[in-house]
This record gives sequence, structure tokens and C-alpha cells, in this order.
Amino acid sequence: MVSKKLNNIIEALGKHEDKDSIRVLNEIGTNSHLDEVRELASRALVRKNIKESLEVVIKNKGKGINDLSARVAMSAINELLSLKDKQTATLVLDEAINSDAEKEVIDTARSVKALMSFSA
Amino acid sequence: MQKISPLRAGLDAFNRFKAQRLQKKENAITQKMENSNSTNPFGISFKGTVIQMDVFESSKDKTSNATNPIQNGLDKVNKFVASARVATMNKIDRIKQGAISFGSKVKDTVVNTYNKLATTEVNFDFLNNTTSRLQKRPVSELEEMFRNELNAMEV
Repeated sequence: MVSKKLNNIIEALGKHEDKDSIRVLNEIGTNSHLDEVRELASRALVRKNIKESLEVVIKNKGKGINDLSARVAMSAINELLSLKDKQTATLVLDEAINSDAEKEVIDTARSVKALMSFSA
Repeated sequence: MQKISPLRAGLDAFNRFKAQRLQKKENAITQKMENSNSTNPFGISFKGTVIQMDVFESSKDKTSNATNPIQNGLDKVNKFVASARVATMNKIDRIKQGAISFGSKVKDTVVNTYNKLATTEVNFDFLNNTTSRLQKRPVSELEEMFRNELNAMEV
């Protein structure tokens, strides 16, 4: 169980204006062996809703929507679908679909984009 | 040797038994009176009861009182005053005991509360760790806190 303090730190990093917070969330948060920490970090990165943060959770294998834990992946997808402004997310998803990344990453990005078009 | 009829013998035995029983009863009453008078000469418990004024007998000679009605009246008043005094003393004792127990209870409660306060540490860390406050801190500091929290969870 993640402590309230840790939860607040991740949330604060998610809301922080300094872009270095993306690096911290990526390095420490999404690489944590704890599912709960990865989930919180992924959601914080999605909520930032900027290209750099969304690229971390969409284009990287084993992170965000591509996480091996279904709970973490579904949580990141759900957060993406909850975004009010989906423009940046759609752009990053398109980039992922058209990139030469691994098939799994491309397939996931395509599925999430389809879901986003339905939910829009 | 005198010849006794069975009926006569039975009657004698009954009379002896009756006399013995009466004797035993009298002995028991006498013993009881002696025992009760040894600790409490009146054989009455005064705790929490209002003693009637008849209990207070004057030590003066009664024969002289019978002839003097004024003296008799004064004695009655004296008895009444003594009765009221004892009753009041009992009431005051009860109130005093109640006040003492209440005071000791209050004292115990205050001492316990003080001990609790003395041993309780008030920590205001939760106020410094709210999201809005953390957001204002530099990322490097948050990074360090993040790492420390994760290390603390692993221990």
C-alpha cells in the first residue's frame, strides 16, 4: 500500500511545471517494481498532457499503456480516455502507430486510438 | 421399685424435652443480647438513618420529671435537637464523602490527561506534505523524497 506522502509526491510531480519532473516520474515511477507506484506515475504523466510525458506512456514498451500489468495499462488507458483535450494524445498515438516501434506497441497504440475515437 | 406405665413414661419424657428446649432458647437469647451489646449497646445501626428522638434518653432521674411538665417539655426539645443534630451530621458526612470521591475522580482524570499529553508527540508533517505545498518545491528535492519513500517501503 502506497503511503499518502508518496501519493502526494507523485501527484505533485505530475502537476509540477518543471519538465524535469517527467524525467523523475519516468526514471523512478514507471521503472518501479511496485504496480501501484507505476500506476500512479503513469496516470500523473498522462494528466500532464504534454508531448514529452505522453510519449513516455505511449511509445515505451513495458510502460504506461504497454505495461505488463493489466491493471497499470488499463489505468493509463482510462486516464487517456478521461482527458478533456485529447489532441496531443491523438498526435502521439499517431506517431506511435506510424513509427517503426515493436508490433505490440503499435497494436496497443492503434487500439487506444480506436477507443479514443469512440469515446470522443 | 416403682412400676411406671408406658403412657406416664412418655409424658415425663415429653415434659423433660420441653423444659430442655425452653432452657436452650433462653440461653440463645441471652447470648445474643450479650454479643450485640458488646459492640453496639443499642443494637441499632445509625448509618444513613435518621435516629428518632426517643432514642436519646436523659441521664437524669425520671421520677422528678414526671412531676415537672416544663422540665419534661425541655427534655423533649433536647431530644429533638440531638436527633436533628445526628441526622444532620450523617447527611454532612455523606455529602463530604461524595465531594471527596468526586474530587479524587477529577484529579485522576486531570492527571491521566496530563500524562497522555506529555507522552503524545504532535506531528505536523502532514501539513507540509500536501500536494499544493510539494508542488512548490524543486524537482530535485521531490526526487530525493520519492527515492526515500520507495526505500522506506522496501525496508
